[in-house]
Amino acid sequence: MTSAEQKEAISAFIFLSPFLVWMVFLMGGPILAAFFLSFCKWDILTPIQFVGLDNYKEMFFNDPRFWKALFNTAYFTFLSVPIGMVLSIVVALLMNQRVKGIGIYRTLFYLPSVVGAGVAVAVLWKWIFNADSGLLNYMLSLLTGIPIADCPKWLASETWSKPALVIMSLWGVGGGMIIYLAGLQGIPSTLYEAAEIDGANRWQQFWTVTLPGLSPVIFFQLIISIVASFQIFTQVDVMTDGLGGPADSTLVMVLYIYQKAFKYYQMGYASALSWILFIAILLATWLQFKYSKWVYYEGELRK
Amino acid sequence: MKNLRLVMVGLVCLSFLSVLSLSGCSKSGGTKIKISSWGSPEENQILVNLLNDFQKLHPDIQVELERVPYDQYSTKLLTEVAGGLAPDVIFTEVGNFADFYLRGALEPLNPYIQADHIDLSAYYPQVVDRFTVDGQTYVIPRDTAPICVVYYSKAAFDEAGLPYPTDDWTYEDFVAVGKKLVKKDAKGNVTRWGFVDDWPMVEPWVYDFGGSYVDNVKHPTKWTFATDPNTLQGVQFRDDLINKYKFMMPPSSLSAMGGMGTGDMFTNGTVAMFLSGIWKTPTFRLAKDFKWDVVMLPKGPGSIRGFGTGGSGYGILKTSTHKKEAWELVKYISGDEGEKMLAQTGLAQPALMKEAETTFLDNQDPRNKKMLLDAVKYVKYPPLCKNWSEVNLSLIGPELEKVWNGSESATEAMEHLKPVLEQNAPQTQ
Repeated sequence: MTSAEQKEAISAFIFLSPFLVWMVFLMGGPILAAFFLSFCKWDILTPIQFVGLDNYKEMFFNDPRFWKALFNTAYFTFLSVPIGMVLSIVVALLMNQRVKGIGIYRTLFYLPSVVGAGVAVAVLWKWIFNADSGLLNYMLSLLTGIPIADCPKWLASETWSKPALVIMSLWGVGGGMIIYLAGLQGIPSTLYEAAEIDGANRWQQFWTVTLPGLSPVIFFQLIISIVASFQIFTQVDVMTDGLGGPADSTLVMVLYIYQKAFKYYQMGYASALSWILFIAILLATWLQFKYSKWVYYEGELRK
Repeated sequence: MKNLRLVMVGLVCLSFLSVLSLSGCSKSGGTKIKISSWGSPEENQILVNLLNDFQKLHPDIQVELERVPYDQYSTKLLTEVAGGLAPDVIFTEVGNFADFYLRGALEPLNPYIQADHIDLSAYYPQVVDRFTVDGQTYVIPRDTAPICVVYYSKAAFDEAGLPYPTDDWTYEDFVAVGKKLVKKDAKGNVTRWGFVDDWPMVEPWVYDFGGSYVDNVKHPTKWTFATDPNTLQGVQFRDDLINKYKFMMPPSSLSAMGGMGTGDMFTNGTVAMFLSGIWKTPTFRLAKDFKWDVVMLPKGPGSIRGFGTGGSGYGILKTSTHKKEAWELVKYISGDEGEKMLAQTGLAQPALMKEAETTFLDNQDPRNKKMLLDAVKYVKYPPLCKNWSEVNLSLIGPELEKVWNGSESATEAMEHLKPVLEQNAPQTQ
């Protein structure tokens, strides 16, 4: 390491230190405990019993609900992340125009993210998705002429419950928009000028200047949103009364872990499930880093 | 400066001392015991009143009340027991009783009952029986709550030109009446449904058709749900109410009601008949210009009757270090006084027969609540095994949702459940 690199490393650790302290002292213990528990059987009161790999064996070979939860989580992630990203980029591009009153528009689009994705919002969406009297089906029926009775039953239907969750997740595009907006404004205008001189039209500028310039932000967002959507819980818990219904169609991993641990008191099994979720997220993140050659960092030489 | 520091240290020490002496004070004021409970503010007030009275009778015992939301009750209390912070007395009910009992957390009460000559025969035997396993009683009952209460709107019956139902009606009468209660607008949209339940429940029909969940409720060894032909009939019946006779509100109309429960839909006229326990009474009494009464769940085929049931009582945790005082408290709050207060609110049917037969039967709505005195005879309880709620909510429940949604027949659901239930045998250890 050169001394410049050393300096950089030291300051990096200083910036990371609050998180590291929190991680080691507040998270490290429970994480290790969960690892140990994942090889045990424990119902809170009766003594802990070591069972080796039984929990993992049960999970992989004997538990259809585990696979269902994994499938539902993947389904949600693969739909909600790309759609959410494209939408937030589009909105960010629109919000990047120099129009009068743009500040108001930006605020309006960001507002839902301020409210967050908590319990209140989930209750709100429960109403919106109501098959008979919800806003969504009312609008659908108004726009398409399909009678409300034939519209999707959303949260009450095994087919439509997951798409409903995806639609609800788009509530948060404003959060991504703000980050993309910052990214857009970080792209030097000289690049656009140069492109213009070279005769590039708006479309070409978007592909050759905007997107590469935005790629580090896109990469960051991709990782963060995948991690977050793997861990979706609150909304599903509220909208399905903790059951993940109908017929397990919205049973996602974290909800399943919660059920096993705090409803059915199978702490060991729940710990094993958490570790599998952790490994899945780790794997997904590692893959993204491995295939991240498309990310262009300005001011950094390609090695 | 140095002096100031000394003064500071001195002050800190003093404050510690005063804390110590304070806690010393409270100790000399008597034994402290803790009781945990859940419930509506109304229900809680009854307990608070009882505790105040108890305090006057026993100035040497200090009682602390801890309220825990119902859906976190078992988890929180079990964790407290594991952490050595558990209450001495707990309020418990038919369902979470199993959580505590099966983990050996409850103190057997027979020695106390015998020593004080408590006459348990003053309580409904069916209720005492739930909390008694192998001759040992663990909980002194407070109330019983058979889920056999069909609330009906008199206006809906009048409008449909139907006589009010009587307790001896059969499931066939129920279907005939239900179909006639449905009202549609010009476009064919339903504006009033015939029937809905408080939450999606199949137990009432399973039991009413003579079905079962396990081979032995107290000591289950295998699930009979998927193999018992009577259970299938019960499931089929609820399926028919929704998908064949179409007078029961379907899940798609129900889901996502937000703040509105099915009870509100009953009082606002969206539903003509509503199945629940008697605990809805105080709420329905508040509805203005709304005439209603109750009738017993109709008889099943062959005049069988069977009702799932709630019901609660008080027990002592084994970890308590003040069992004598805890027992005094249990004795007092499950006695006559508390039962009377409970009956007056209309919230619950006292487990103490004397109070159920007198105070409970006042002149307030619902007039026909006396049918509950008879209904207690037919109550059925969920099996005592650790995985009951998981099997019921997460294995049987989702499969049946397909039936209610019309994407699977009742017979198919039972076929799918057979191997699943075989693999997840009842756990009693």
